[in-house]
Amino acid sequence: MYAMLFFALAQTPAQPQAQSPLPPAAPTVSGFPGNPTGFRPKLEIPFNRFYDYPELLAWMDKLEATFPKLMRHEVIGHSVEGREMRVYTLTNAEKGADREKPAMWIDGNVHGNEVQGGEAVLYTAWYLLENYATLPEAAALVDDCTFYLLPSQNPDGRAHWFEEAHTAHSSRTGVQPHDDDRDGRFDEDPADDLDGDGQITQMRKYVPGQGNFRLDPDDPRLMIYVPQNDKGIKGDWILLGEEGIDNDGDGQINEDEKGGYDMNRAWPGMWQPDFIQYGAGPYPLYWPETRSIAGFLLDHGNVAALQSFHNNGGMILRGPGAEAFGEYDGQDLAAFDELGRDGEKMLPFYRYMVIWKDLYSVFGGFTTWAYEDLGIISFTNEMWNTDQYYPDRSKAPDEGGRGGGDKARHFFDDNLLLGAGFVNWHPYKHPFYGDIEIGGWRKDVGRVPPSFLVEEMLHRNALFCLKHAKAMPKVSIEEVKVTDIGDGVKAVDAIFKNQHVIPTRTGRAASMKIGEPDAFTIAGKDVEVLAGGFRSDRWRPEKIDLAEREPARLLRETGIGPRGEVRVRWLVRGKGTKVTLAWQGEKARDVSLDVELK
Amino acid sequence: MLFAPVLLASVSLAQTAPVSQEAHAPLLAHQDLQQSMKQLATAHAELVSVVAVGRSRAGRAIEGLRLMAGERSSGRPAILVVADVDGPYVWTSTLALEEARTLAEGYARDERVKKLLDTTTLYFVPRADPDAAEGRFAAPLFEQWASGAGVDNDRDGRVGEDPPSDVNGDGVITTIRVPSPEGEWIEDPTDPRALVKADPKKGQRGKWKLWTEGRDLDRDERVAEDSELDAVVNLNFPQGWRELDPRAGRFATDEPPAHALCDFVLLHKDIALVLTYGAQDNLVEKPKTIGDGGQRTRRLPPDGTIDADGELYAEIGKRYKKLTGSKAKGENDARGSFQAWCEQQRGLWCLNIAGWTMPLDEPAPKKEGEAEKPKPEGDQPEPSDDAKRLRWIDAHNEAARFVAWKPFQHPELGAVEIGGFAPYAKIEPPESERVELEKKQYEFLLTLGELLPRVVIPECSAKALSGGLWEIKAAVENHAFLPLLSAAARRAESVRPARVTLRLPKDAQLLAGSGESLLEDLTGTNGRHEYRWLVHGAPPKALGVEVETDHAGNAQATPEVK
Repeated sequence: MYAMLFFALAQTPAQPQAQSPLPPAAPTVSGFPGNPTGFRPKLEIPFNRFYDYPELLAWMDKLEATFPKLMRHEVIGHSVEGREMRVYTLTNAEKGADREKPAMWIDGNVHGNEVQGGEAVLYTAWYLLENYATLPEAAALVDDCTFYLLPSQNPDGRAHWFEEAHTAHSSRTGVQPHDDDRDGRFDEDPADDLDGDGQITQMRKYVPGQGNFRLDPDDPRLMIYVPQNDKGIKGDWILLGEEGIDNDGDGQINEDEKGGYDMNRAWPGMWQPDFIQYGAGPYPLYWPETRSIAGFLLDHGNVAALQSFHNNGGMILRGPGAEAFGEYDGQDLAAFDELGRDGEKMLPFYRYMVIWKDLYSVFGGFTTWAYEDLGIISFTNEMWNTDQYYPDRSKAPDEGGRGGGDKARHFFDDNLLLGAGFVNWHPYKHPFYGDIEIGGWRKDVGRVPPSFLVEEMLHRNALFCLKHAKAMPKVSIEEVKVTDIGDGVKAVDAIFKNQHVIPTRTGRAASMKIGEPDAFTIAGKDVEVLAGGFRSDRWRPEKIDLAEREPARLLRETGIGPRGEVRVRWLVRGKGTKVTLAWQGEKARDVSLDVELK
Repeated sequence: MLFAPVLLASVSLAQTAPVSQEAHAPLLAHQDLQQSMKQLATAHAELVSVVAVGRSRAGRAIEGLRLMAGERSSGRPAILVVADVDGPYVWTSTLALEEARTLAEGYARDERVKKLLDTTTLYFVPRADPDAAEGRFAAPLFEQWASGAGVDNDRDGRVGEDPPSDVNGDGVITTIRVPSPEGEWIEDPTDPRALVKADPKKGQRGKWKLWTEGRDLDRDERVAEDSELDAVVNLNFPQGWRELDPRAGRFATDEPPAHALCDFVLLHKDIALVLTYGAQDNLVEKPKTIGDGGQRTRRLPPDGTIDADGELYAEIGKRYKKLTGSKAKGENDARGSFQAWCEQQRGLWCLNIAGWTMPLDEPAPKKEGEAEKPKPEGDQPEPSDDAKRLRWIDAHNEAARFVAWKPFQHPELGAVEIGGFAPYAKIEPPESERVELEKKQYEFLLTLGELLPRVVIPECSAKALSGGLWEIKAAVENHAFLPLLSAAARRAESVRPARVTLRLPKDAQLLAGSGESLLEDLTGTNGRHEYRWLVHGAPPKALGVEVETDHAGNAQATPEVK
C-alpha cells in the first residue's frame, strides 16, 4: 500500500523541483553463477522441463551461437532412423586446440526413456559458458580442458519416447526392427494406446470374487494385493498388464515391441552375446549409434574423464560391470573413490556403488568399456531417486501395507502437482477382455523428477561432472636443479608433478598397454645427453633406473600417479648453456621448461 | 620352385613348370581371383552370380559367388563356404573357386550336382582376408597373417618402425638365430636344422635366441618387433575375443573383413551350415566338448562345442575321413575366430577343414648299407615335430620349404645365422597333390546338402466328429542327419525355430490347439512332432497346415479326410 502511495505521489504533476542526483542503476552482470540476484544469463533456457531431440539440439545450437568462440559441433554419425549424432566440443580454442588438452566426455540417454541425461549435458554446457566471463574457475575449465558433449546416445529412442505413447520404462531400446518373440515377424506386437491419451498405462478388470486385488476403501485408485489364504477371501479385481491387444494373433499381448535391444550392452569391454547378456545384439557395436561413438573415443586419446547419464535410482556407478573381471587397479581406485565420495556429498540420495557388486553383473556396458579398454576414469550417474519425493522421511505419509508406497506417491502428486501425474482409472471395452478399466502413472512419473525438481537434479549432476573434470591430470615441472659433476658433466634434476587425483596414465592403461607411455625429454643446442633415468630415491640420486637407450627421451608406461611426482635425473655435457625439459602425454597438456645450465 | 622369390614376380606360378593336362589353376592374386569369379558368373549366368560381401582395410573388394538353380524360393537352406579364412591359406581360395566351377559345369551332367543345387543354395567366399592373402604375391616373401590395426608393440611411441625384413637378400623373410646367453632354443638332437626349447629340468641349457628376420632399426635390442600391422582378421570375431591382445584388433569386428563377414551371415538367414578352409579342423579330430552347454562360471559359459553337437561333428568327421583320407589336423585354438562365432553364437553348423598339413609320419631315413638295427637301450630322443617335417621335406624333394641355416653378418646383431622354414611352407600342399585334394574336397562338399534339416509334413488328416466338428492332425518331421537346431542354436536362441500355423477361414472357430506355435525340438534323422486341433465351421479343404523356417525349407499340407 505504501508503495502505491509513493508511486501516486511521484505521478502527481508538480512544479519542477530540484532532484537529488541518484547513481545510475547497477549494471546487471551477465552469466548465471547460481546466485539468484543481479545476474541475467545471456541465454535463458527453462530447466524445469525436458526437450525432444530437435528442441535439445536447437538449445545446444543456440548456445553455440551465443558463445561462438567457445563451442562448436561436428556430426559423428547417424542413428538407425537417420538422426544426427552430434558431438559439441567446448573449449577455448585460443588457449589451445581441443586435442592438446585433457578432455571430458559427457553424454546421456543411451536408453531412450532415460531422457534427463540430455538436459544434463545441455545444463553443463550452459553453466560453463554463462560463467566463463565472470567466474575464474569456469574460465579455467574452459581454457585448460576440453569437453566433448553428446546430448543423446539414442536419439531415436528419445524421439519415440516423447512423440509416442510410452511408459516410464519403454522406448529404452533403439528402433531397428527386432524379432523379440522369434516368430519371424518384427515389432508386430507393441503396447497399444487404447484410450488415446498419449500414455501407456495399466489395464484392470472387475471380476467379483475371482480376483487377487481389492481396492483400497480410502482411495479406489489404489489396488491392494489379496494373498492366498484359508479363509476363502478373494479380491474383486485382476491386473491385466500394460495397455494393449494381441496385434499378431499369437495368443500373447505386447510381446514384440518396436526394437527390443539395449545399446548399453553393445560395447566391446567383456561383451557377451544375447543369450548371456540380454539386449547385446549379434556383435559388439552392432548399432550405428554405438559404432560412431566408439570411433570418436578411439580417435581421441586425450579423453581422461567420462560420464554417461542414465536414470534412475540415485547412484554414482563405476565398474567392474561383471564379477568375472576381477578388481580394478588400486591406484585408479584412489581417483574413483575420492570422486565417488565427494559425489555423494554433492548429490544427496545418491550412493557411490560398484555395478556388479551392488547391482548385478552386466556385460558390454559403456562406462566399463571406457575404463577397461580405454583406460579412462568413468562414471555412470543414475539420476533421480524417488526417495527425493520426501527428503524428510519422517514426514512421509503412512507407508503401511502394500498400498503404502502408492499412498505416499498419490499424496505428493495430489498436493504438489494437483494430480497431474496420475491417469485415473476409467472404463474401456477391450476386444478380448471385454469391460476393463485403464489407468496408471504417466510416463514422466517415477524415473524423471517432477518439473520443479528438475533443475536441482541437473545442477548437482552437472557440477559433479565439473568436479570430475577438475580432477583430470595437470603436469608441472618443478624444483629443477643443475649440479656440476666435473669435467663439464652436469646433472639436471627435475620433479614432474601431477597436481590432480586422476593419474596421467591409469593403472589399467599401464598394465594393458593402452595408448602411449608418457615421454620425459631433455634437449638443448650443443648439449649431449649422456645418461638419464627415473630416480627412485629422494635423497640418493645414484638410485636411478637408467634408460638403456635414448636417454634424452625417457618413456614411462605408468605416467605420473594421482597427485604424484616423478623425479628425473639427466647427465649432460657440452658447450650449450640451455636445455629444455618437457613432458608429453596423451591426457594432460604438454609442458616444458627452459633451464639454464650454469 | 614354389618359394623362390624371383619367379614370384610373375603372377601365374604355373608358368614356371611344364603344364600337364592335370595342372590346376595357380594361386590367385586378388585381381585374378576377382576376374575368375566374374568370368564364372558370366559363363553360367543362370546358376552363378557374384555377391558383394564388403571391403578390406586397404579397399580390396571381398566378394562371393551364389550358386542356385531355379527361382529364389523362401526357406531353401543354404551352405556358406568360406576359404582363406586365415590369410596365408591362399591355396584354399583356388580350392573353393574350383569347387564352384565344377558345380556350375556339372549341373547339366551330374545328377548329384543337380540334386544339390535344386534344393540348396551355395555361397562361396573364396577369400575372407584379401589384404593378408596378397602377401603371398609380394617380394620379398613373408608369411603375412596380420592385415589390420597396428599398435606400438615395443612401447616406444612409434608404430611400425621395426618390421620384419629380408636382411640377407635371399628373397624370403625367415628366421634369425643368434647365440645368446638368454637363448631358449637348442638344436634338435635328431636333426640340427630343427630347434627345440631347452628344458632346464633335463639339464639342457639354451643356446640360440630366435628372431623373425629383420633389423633393429630403433636400436632397442629387439629385432622386427614392431610391424605396421598387427590385427589378424580371424582373431577379430566376438566369441572368445582376446581383449587387448594386439593381434585381436581394437575391438571385435573392427577389422572390415570381419565386420563384413558377420553382416553377410546375419543377412543370409537361409545359411544352415558353414564350411571353412583354413587353419582349423574339427573333422579329422573330434573337437573337445564342454558339457551340455548349461554350465556357467560367474555367468559365463566355457568356450567350445556342446556335447550333443560334438557327437554329430564326430560322425560327420568319420565320413569325411573315409571319403577324403585326410589326416590333416588343424589348429584347435578357435578363440576370436569366425568359426567360433558362427558355431557358438549364431548356432550354425560349422565344418572346419585344414585340408593339408605337412605330414609328421615320414619314417626315419635308412642309411646306406644299414641292416635293421636293434633298438639301443636307454632314452632315444623323440624327434620334434619340426624334425619330422624335415624328414618329409627330404623324402619328397621339397627342399625349397626349408632354407638352410647360413651365417650372416647382421648390421645390428653381428654374427648370426639366417634360415628356417620358408614362408607358407607348412601351409601349402605340394602342387602335385593339389588336384587330388581338390577332387576329394569337392566330393565331400557334394554330400553336405543331404545333411541339412528340412521340414516336411508327411501326415495331415481330418476326422469328422459330429456337428461340423473336425479333428485335424498333422505331423512335422525332419529326416535329415542334422536336427532343426543345433544345441548351440538352442542355447543362443539365434536361429529362428519353425513356425507351425493352422490356417482357417475367418468364420471358422478353433476350439482346441494353437493357431500358431513355434517348434524348436526337431531332432535329426527321426525328428517328429505331432499336432492336433479341433475346428468347427469349416471343411478340411478350406484349412491348411503350414511350417515355415528361415533355414530348413517350408512345407504346406491340406488335411485329408480319413
